[in-house]
Amino acid sequence: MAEKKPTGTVLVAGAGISGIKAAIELAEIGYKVLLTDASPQIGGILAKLDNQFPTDHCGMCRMLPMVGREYASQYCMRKGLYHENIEILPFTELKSVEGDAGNYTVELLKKARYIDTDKCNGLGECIRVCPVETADEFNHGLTLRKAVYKPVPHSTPQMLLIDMETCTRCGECVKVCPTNVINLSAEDEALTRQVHAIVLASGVKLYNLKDFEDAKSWAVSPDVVSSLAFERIISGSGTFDGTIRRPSDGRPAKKIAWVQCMGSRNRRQKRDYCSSICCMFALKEAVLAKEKGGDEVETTIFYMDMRTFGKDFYRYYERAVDEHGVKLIRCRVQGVMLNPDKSLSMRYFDSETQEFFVSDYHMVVLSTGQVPYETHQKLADLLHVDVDSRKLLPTDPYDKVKLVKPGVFLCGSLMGLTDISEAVGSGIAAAGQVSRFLSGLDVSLLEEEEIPEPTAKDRDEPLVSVVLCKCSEKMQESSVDFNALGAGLKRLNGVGEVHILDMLCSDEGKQTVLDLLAKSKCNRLLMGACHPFMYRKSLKNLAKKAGFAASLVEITDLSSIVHRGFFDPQPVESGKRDYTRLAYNDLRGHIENLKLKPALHVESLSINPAALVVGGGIAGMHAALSLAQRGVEVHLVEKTDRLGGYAGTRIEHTIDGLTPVSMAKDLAGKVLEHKHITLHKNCEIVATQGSLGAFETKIRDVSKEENFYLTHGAAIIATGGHEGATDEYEYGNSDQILTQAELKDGLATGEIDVGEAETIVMIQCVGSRQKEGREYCSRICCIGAIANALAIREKNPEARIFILYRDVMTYGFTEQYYTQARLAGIIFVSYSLDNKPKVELVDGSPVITFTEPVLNAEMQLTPDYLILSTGVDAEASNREVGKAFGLPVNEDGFFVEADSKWRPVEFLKVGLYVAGVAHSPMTLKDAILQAEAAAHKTYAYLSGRKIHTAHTISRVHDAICVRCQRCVTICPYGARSYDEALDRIIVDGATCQACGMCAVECQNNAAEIMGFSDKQIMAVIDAGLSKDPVAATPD
Amino acid sequence: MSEFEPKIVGFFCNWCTFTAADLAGTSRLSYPHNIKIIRMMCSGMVDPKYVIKAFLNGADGVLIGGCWPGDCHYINGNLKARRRVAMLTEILKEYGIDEKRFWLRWIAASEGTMLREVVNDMTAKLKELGPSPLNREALGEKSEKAKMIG
Repeated sequence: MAEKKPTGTVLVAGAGISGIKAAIELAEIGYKVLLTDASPQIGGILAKLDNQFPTDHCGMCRMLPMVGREYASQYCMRKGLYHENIEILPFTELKSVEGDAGNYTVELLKKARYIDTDKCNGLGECIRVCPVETADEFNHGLTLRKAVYKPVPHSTPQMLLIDMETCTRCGECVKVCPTNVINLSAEDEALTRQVHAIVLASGVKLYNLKDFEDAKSWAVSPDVVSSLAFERIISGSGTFDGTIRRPSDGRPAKKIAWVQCMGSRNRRQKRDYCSSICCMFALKEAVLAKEKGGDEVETTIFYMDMRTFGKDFYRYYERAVDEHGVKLIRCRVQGVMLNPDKSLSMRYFDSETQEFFVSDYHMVVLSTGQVPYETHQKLADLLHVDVDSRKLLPTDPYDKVKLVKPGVFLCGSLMGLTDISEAVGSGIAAAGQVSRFLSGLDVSLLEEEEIPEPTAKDRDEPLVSVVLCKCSEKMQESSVDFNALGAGLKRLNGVGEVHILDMLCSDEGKQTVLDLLAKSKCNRLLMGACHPFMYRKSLKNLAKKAGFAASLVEITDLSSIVHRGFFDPQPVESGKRDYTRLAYNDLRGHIENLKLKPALHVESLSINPAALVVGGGIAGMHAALSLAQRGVEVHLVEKTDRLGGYAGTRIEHTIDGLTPVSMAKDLAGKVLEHKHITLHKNCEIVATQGSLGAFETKIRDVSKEENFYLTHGAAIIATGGHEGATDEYEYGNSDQILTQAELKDGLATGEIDVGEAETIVMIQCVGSRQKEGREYCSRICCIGAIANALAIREKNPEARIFILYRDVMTYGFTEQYYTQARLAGIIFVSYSLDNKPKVELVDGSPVITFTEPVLNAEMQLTPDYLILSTGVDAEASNREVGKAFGLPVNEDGFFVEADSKWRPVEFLKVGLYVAGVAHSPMTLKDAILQAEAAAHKTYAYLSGRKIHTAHTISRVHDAICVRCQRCVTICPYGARSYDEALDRIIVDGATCQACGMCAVECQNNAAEIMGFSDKQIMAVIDAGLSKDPVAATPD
Repeated sequence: MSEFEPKIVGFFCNWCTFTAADLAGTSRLSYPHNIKIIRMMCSGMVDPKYVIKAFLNGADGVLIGGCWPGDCHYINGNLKARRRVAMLTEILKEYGIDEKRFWLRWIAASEGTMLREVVNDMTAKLKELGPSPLNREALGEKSEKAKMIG
């Protein structure tokens, strides 16, 4: 027999959202993942953020896998995560990386927590008795914690640890620990692992107030807080239970100011970059302050440029200002003064009124930006590579996630300065690159688990085995009378046996259960143990070992009732009665539920392993090649007769030295040569039907005037976009008035000679960021204008170049080009929407009039050229393509993804993905990143691995279904459809997420969620309200 | 006679409110035992008949807890719940179930404190309101209405 191939193993170093996403994506396709984080918990910065725009709440759970969801945790992600294929190692540092591509040996250092979190039951007695109090980092020092503490209060398992810096080693915690899991002399543990690929996702830090060189002008009061600290102040689990109070005296804060660009866009501090996230962060916090604190809360943001460049950011900005009344003042404030009444004064210049003001605030929030660079040198040393000229890790020029060292990838804020959706997208893209890399190595996937069919025993009369854990000896004086409870449960119909054990979590405990269950005649199992999240994985495995069908095992949280009783101050006797009843009713509900639960089975789906990519631009070609490289058959449909799209045919050079046209030529060559790619030029999408795994798309070949059909398992929409059109500012009436693209072409061909030009004026946001027109920022025009201005400057150092702008959107590292342009003497003049520049033609030449805000004077220029930045328009064909696939297109003509933050390249309809400008205007690198991510999402289904439905899924009872199709309409995922030929409602098993909408909507109970039937829930309600005496207790 | 202890059935969404209840538990924010929590995957999964069933079985109040609008793990289940609750409230009123007995609240996963407040608040309000007309146990067999329906 041939030697077994090693299982493809990937280290993901950093468990913030991008790392988590990369890990989930790799685990989903069957690789083994080691997910480490240097901090004691996972979740990164997002663990602290309760609210994210645009919903102003949280949707992190949407990041969990859709198919194979039952392999992963199915609860709030901010509590924690598990996945069968991911080994999570928090508090573990990467110490060294040796070896070559595909064969890395990594050394990890698992730091001592002094508490065995695998066995800790989360009772928290240690916290109660700990005498030490110190500032809690989680709440930015606004609250206190003990030396033994939970690093993230809402995490589960609770992941306690002891901070040895403050611990006095008094040993009180050791004495009270019921499970004996505290070891004060524990040591760090060195681990060595072999991995095939590495994903670096160590993220960034936010600028620390204390590191300010000019801290004394800002850190004048505890009421000057960082934006992340403010997030904790307003959090429901934060410092003041969700009310807005100032930290100094806990009094309500009614006047709050935000100061932008703290620690960024500052050349003096050598921080010539924009943190990219703070503008939206501040807008969101200001809106939240209004929502939580009421209308009387005044919120003011002091800013330089309101950088609302992302998809739908501008609309959020409009809502913040128009609906919530957030006040924006363009002024870089220089410091804060503390008044005797503890209020804070700031002096600013209001350019609208041309006056200086001093205003008092109750609280000042500093938008402390992301700090790149810090970890790059360290990581570069570990990997034996040199940082690049920007002091960042050296990556492929086009691929932000691909390090120059083969087999090593990066994602999240390590790539640059990213927001949530970019972090998530890059996590998927990094997983995609890893999967491409591993497909070239001789490694295997984790073995597919055989999912057993329900046995005859499972279908027998239900008989429940109940296993209860009392926790430990130290908890004997607990509030629940286990003997009475056990006797009461045993009396119930359908209960075969009740076992009461100590410490189910211990190895002996587990063995005892296995021995007991081996003799059991029962076919259903209820475990009342610790916190269900905590041991779910190990208890599930235990149940499996004991031979129970997965769907017939329930694990319930008995411990929280026991713990609640433990801390209840009421007398033991009455308490015991109360809590025993509580536990009895709860367990009885679960028993009734289990008795009625059918043995569920899963089905494997038949998947057509071909992909369709719509659009032969750079994103489309990149996605096609990414899939083809992994052996997927790809049909690439392009509506014109040539590949390359807009960027690949029009943009020769970008400001950061990329050459899209030649890059597109290179890609096109590979596409044409690739044996797995079939190109369909001059073709348009007519209609599509089917669902994941079995789509059929009708395509029209425009040149041959004939139709044909393609069948495919999934599709990527990469239809792209183009430069916007305008008739504003006399465009079209003078050959001295050009768009940026026309200027660029003219400069390249030499048709436009700027050598003799005296004055050139550029106007930004033409038809953009306004109610009528493109109500969004096109993201690339400011950088494009600067690139053109610098090119003109090079040809003609004497020319006066004016750029009239509203907000300069040079986010991230592109800020340096803005700096460069200003140093080169290019004059930036801001204008506002209600005072736009005016252009008239005098003798056929443009004359432009505008207000110069610093001089507060009207100026008139007669430029040689007037250049208009007309933004990016969506392809007009998006609406037809959207209609064909049943996909939503927004009012701007771009496709609407499933979730702007957490599912950036997916559609709600499973099996369809979006990449590039079809999603929203974006830079070339971002489009490539999205293409990689979309390709990977597609690959997860088309890799040839079996795709199973979940156990818990919606079904139709045809006999009682009246085909009214109301379930079809209400399903949020489009998982239900009516098959006319069969005259039946069909459920798409891969798409259904078991939300239960159909079951409620159905008048006949014909729609049912397996495992959540009416009968079961009714029985649970009965049990919950039952007053049956618990046996043997004087109830 | 001891004080009337209302019985509440809580149908909580798995992703938000159930997590909040769990957080309240682990943060030792004690809330009264008057509530029996039933975990649903989504507030939109709560069939009106479950609510009716709970009242028929003598619950003094029913609380549905879901994610905030826009946060639903299943896109918009909570909005569907809101629509149904509005309708069901009217129907329950016809049968003598005061609308103050039937609550829908948005409670996010991090809002353990809010959960405790809501449960405390509801318990207090139900104590003022007294037993539900269908709570035969608390009213004794004397209640005519209970006899009629039961």
